[in-house]
Amino acid sequence: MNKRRIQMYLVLFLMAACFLWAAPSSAQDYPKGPIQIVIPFAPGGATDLFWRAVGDVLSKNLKVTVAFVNKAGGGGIVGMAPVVTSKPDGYTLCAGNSDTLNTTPLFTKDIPFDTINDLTYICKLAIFPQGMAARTESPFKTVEDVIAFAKENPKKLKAGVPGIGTSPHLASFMFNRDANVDVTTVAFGGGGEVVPQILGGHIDFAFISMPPVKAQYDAGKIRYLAFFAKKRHPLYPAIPTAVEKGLKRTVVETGIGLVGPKGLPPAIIKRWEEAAQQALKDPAVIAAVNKLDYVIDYKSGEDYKKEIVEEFADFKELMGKK
Amino acid sequence: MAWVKVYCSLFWLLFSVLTCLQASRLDMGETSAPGPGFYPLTIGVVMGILSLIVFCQAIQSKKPAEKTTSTERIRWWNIVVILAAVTLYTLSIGKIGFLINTFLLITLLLKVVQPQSWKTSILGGLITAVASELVFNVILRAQIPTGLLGF
Amino acid sequence: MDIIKDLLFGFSVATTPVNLLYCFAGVLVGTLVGVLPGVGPPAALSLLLPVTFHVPPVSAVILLAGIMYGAMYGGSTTSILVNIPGEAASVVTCLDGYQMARKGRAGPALGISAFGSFIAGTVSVVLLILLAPTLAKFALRFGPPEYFSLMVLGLSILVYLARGSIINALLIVCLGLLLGTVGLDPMSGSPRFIYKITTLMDGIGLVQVVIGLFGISEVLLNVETTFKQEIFETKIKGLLPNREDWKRSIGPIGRGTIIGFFLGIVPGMSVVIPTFVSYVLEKKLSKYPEKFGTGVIEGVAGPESANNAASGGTLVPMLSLGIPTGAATALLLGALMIHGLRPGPLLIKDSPEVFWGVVASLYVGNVMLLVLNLPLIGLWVKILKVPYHYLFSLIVLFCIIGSYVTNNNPYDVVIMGLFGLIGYAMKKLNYEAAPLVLALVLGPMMENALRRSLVLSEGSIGVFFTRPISAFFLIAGLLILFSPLFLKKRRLREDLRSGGE
Repeated sequence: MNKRRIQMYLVLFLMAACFLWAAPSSAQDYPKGPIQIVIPFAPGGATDLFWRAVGDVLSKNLKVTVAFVNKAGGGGIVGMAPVVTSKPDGYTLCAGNSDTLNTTPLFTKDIPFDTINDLTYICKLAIFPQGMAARTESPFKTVEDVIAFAKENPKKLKAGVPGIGTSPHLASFMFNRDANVDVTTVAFGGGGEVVPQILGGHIDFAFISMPPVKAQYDAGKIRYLAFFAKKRHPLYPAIPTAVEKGLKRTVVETGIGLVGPKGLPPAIIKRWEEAAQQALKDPAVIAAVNKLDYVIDYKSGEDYKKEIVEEFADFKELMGKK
Repeated sequence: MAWVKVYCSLFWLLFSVLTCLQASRLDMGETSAPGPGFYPLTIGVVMGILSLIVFCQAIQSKKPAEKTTSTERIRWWNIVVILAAVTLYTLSIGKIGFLINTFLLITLLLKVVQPQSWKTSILGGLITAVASELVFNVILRAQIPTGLLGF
Repeated sequence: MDIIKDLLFGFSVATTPVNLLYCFAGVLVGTLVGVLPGVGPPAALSLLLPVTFHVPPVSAVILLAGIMYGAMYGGSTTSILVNIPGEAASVVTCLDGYQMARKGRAGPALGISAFGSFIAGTVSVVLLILLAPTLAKFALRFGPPEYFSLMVLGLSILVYLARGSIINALLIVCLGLLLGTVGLDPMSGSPRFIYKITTLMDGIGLVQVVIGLFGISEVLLNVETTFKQEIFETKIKGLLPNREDWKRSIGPIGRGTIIGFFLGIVPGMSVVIPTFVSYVLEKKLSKYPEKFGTGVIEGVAGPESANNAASGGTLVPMLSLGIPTGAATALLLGALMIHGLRPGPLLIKDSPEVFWGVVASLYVGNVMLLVLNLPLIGLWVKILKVPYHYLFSLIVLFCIIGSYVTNNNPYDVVIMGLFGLIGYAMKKLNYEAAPLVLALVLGPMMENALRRSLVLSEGSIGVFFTRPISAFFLIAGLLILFSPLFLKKRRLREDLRSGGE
């Protein structure tokens, strides 16, 4: 009997040891433990790469581990949904892009939460503008060429987009509206699928941001016709903007920002805003961001929310017309 | 009649009818832009045809039903336990955490399905739980939830 | 010749002690992680991506390439030992590999898998070097109509996959195609069969289905009776393939390599499809097709080679055009981008040491894998000796972890459990699981290709026949699908009448 008793106590002791060893650290100001950030997109994608590049520096600034978790699906909805319902203590956040917040709701029904009101907007870090690209062998060398052809031949031009409910898809509607043409969009599964279609000439051109086509652009296989931005891209001064070409309202600059569950204390928001601003000044981050062709565009939580709401209203009007 | 086959074919028939109903609620689109409902509807129809064929075969079949190959009693309980354990493990991992949950799971499985002694079960559960925690959460940093108590 | 010079240069880069170490680390970690059910190259790469940030670019890529191949190999191990596919591409290996293990021939199965993978990997690296630019151009000619026709061809071979009743297999294929439609429709954004369950918005996960359908259902099947009978034959009959095995496997390995590599080049082609094609081809060419599924070594040699060759093939568009062809290459691409490298036409010019270093390290990685894994075969085989009443609990645990880790979503595990039950029911009722997996993979691709093609052609169906590549695949597919009707009328008529019992 004694031996069995001892064994039992041993087991209990081991279990207790495990409990104690894993107990959380003592209390400090936020953040006092590892922060989990959900990236609602697949690893290796543009958004994912951005956050991982910045994540290191953010970790250092906040002095805790920032752990990224990928939960892709539904244009960002699948990953954001659990964050919405988590505790607003600042340890579970969502790092996505503005598409999910103000574009996806226009195309997807039955989203289980309100992207504007059920989230706390923490800050915005960067943008990547959308635009149009065609292969170099294409007869379309400028935006005007495309518009001219499209006007003569409604519904004949086929433009690829990386997916329904993405910024490029929205851009296609803006383009059609402002240029007064009717270009048919063909949806694919991500930038990676669109690029070979452009190169192979299966589609006439594509609405797509620069990062997926950069390798081809550098090699001279793809011509980037225009950016849909307010100003020329600092890294590509030779590429015109759609605004210059007369499409005054065709501006789609997808933002990259951080959000959290509703009711996050202002102190936590402030802490992140500070950390983000610091990180964006770090030369390593700037280099990485530039390598990925993003443009740094910091906005505080409040400003970010205002921008999203404005854009959302714009987009709603755009889609309502269609 | 091969009864098993009859029931199976009826199941498929029911499934295909449901599919067609649900699919027809979706937009069919036009030839130049097929909508989301077109494909599921087609498949549902094909499935329906196939299940009708099987049904006819089953009714006309003259072979007797297959005898069960094993004369032992099937231990349904084992199956239920495993599935229930998996479900419970999944739903509670957020609250209880990887380490404890794994321990409970293994102990339960060892004890119930092919009964081992209490000692073996608990010991097995403990070793597995600690080893898994080490390998997955610490070495690989697989980010399996750590639950309320921080682990 | 220039290429030889470049290659030697690449080897000099790849074989520096530091890079060798990275290669070894990648291959080791990749194998271990790949052994986890459901964790294949994409999951392994994303788990370990952060580690590569602090490492110089060339070494990082070598590390990642090692992980990719290692994970590929680790996946075959669980398929053979416990009938749980390490990743979707290993599903076919389960069919005969596991049966071989049950007969005590796990060693030879693992061995031929290792050798086949090695040979295929090596050959595909050579092909990659020689043919990359040409092949890349060919790959670009695949537009939506070509994809559709290729998928039709893929589905048509299912007719030959089925061991039992063809109609049953067709029903399961329909089920698989339907399951593939669950989720947000990528062409219109409409939710299909989601019923307000958020997890389903992205569809039913392939990994979870495969683990449940093969792994869990097998466990359930084994525990429904007491373990009086040994699940595994305890007398292990030899650790390595014998001469007879080699004689029978050389053909499949060769054919699998070619099939795998050329199919893998097509952007977006899942690695799963070449393995099915290889399996069916070997079955068709074999003198004893009815033995497939009971533990025939050709059924392991062919698909395993196809598997590795396809991975090599997917690198062609990635390295020469900078286009990701699937989850694994997307991650590799991303990793390269973070390090400031841009795979694409300019990579060879701008950073030759990276391009050739990577190519050389692929070869080195293959060698390392072989060297690493052959001794491990003895170890793996010992695992089978663990009493099943303990082993099964570990299997269940690993299945759960494997299903969870892909998306960190607990509901994925529920899906796994559900399909475990479905798989169990299917096994009892004589329905085969493999066709379902192929249909689940092919279905969405086929549908999307069809719809895109019709948009591009503005509704004209002729587009599939007027484009040469598409016409070729489509006609081939239709021929295969309907040939039983013409050539083997008798068999089909019998089948229709009696249901193929």
